[in-house]
Amino acid sequence: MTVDKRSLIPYLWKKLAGVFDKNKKTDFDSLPDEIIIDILSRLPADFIFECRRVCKRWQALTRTTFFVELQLVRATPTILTQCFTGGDSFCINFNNSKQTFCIAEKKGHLLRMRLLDCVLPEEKSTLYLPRILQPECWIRSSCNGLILGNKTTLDSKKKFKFEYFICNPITLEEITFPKPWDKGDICGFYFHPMTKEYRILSTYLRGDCYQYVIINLPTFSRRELNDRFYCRPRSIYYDTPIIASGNLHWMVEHSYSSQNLQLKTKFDNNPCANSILRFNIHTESVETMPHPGYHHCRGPICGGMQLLEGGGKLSMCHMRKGFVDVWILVDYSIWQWIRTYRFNLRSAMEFSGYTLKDKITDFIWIQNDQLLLYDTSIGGLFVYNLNRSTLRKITLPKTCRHYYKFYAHTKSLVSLRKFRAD
Amino acid sequence: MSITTENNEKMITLMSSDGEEFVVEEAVAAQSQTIKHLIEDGCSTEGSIPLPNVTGRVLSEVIQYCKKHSSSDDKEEKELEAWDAEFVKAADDHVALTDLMMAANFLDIKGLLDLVAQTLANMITGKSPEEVRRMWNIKNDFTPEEAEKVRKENQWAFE
Repeated sequence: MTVDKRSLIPYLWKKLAGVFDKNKKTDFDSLPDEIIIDILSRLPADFIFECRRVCKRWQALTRTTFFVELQLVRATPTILTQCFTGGDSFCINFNNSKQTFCIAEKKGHLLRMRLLDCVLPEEKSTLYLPRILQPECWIRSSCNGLILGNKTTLDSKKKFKFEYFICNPITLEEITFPKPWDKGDICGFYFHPMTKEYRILSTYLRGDCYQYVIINLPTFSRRELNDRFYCRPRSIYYDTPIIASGNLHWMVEHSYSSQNLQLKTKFDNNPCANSILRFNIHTESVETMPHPGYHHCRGPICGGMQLLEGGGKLSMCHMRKGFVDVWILVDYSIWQWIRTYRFNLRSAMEFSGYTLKDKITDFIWIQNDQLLLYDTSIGGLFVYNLNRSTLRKITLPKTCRHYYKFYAHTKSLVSLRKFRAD
Repeated sequence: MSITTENNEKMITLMSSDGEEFVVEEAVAAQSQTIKHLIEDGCSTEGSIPLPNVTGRVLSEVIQYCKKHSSSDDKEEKELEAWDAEFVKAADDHVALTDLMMAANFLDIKGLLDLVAQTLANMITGKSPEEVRRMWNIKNDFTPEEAEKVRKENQWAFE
């Protein structure tokens, strides 16, 4: 016997109507959890952190793993900025829709961030950075809103102590740990999706080759990769890995290439074909790839190349004699690059009244056809609009006119609680 | 009752909680997954589809949205974006938007749900917890001790 569904409708209607009071005043308390989660997960992580003070229900809803992951997926990337010698660290928000950059500055001992150069008042937000982001600390890698770095502090006996840290600048959680192995250095930090574990990649010179090591968190158990490798990432202290398409990427450090003759020959014969190092997060293996346009390379080694992130894709800026080539990796599986722009940065700078000196420009990232770059000699942060060929200078906080470093970073609420499993 | 128009479009009738009836093309109404399932289950062949938790005022707005989004397949995405922006602006305030969000959730219209949720999120960004409470009529259920604990939690990294 089949039940006529239509006969159920009047009954269901009555039942549903009873749930919803007819003259009710809509307020947030009456909204179902999924709607509150949907709205709150679209907010910036630092603001959600503040919102946990609103009421117990909001606090509970925003602390679940489900919520934290949803927020991370929806979050717009920002740029984390560190100022050396000035003692301040601050954060720049890149606003996607309005295409403006906002800069925050330290205030008080809490390093409370305040937006300085905010075009639209409603865009104001605050960010707290923990004290650890001080000049003596180096940011090495950023992943899912967590920052890995190392710092030097004075202990009670006034001896220098070198240690690593992982922190979430939003939740202000931090763990520190001594160097968990006696040799080598950290290259990067990543989230292994299969096991849902955070892992560190490090490398050291073993004999005449580089040995790569994976360190699992929070146990710090280590595992050496099978293959030994003939090169390592360029300037580990300055180049943070660019994460794109499930891989970490660095330019190769040529001067530190291995002394192993057999491997060295392979490498030296064609350095440009082995100039980008990549680490696959899924398979956990290392390999080298050619830089874009390497078929036209003449001469020993191409310089002036920087990897960066452009709209979620791996990108590269190549600067020669004031000209900048912008490349985007359009098809990751076949390593197909396309040169999307070429422009004369020197003349654009001159047009705005600045003098460009080669090799000291940091290309930071590309978003909506705008290239963010920092020039150390001018001490200025610039936005170059690739479509309109216009250059705009962003005023940095006047309190610290020193060297800045910029890192792609996504603000999140990812907790470090599980790192404290011991 | 299902009616057929001159261009052979199948029409269906939706009834709001306050008894208002709306006759719309089936393709328009089917943007709501909830209504689509009701139609597939044969619930609309006779009489109208009752929507007991959507008022006539809200339902007319929802239909307006669905009409626009079902007829503009070939139109510019930018034009649609601009229309969406005007649409949420016309909804006036966060109370009206919350009603709209409830309806979009019940009717399961993903595009509308995303649009309204983002608008509401933008409205509360940058407000202090106290302002947020006032805006949404939320009771602060933290005792002073608990509030102090939450405040301290925000600073534990410095202790």
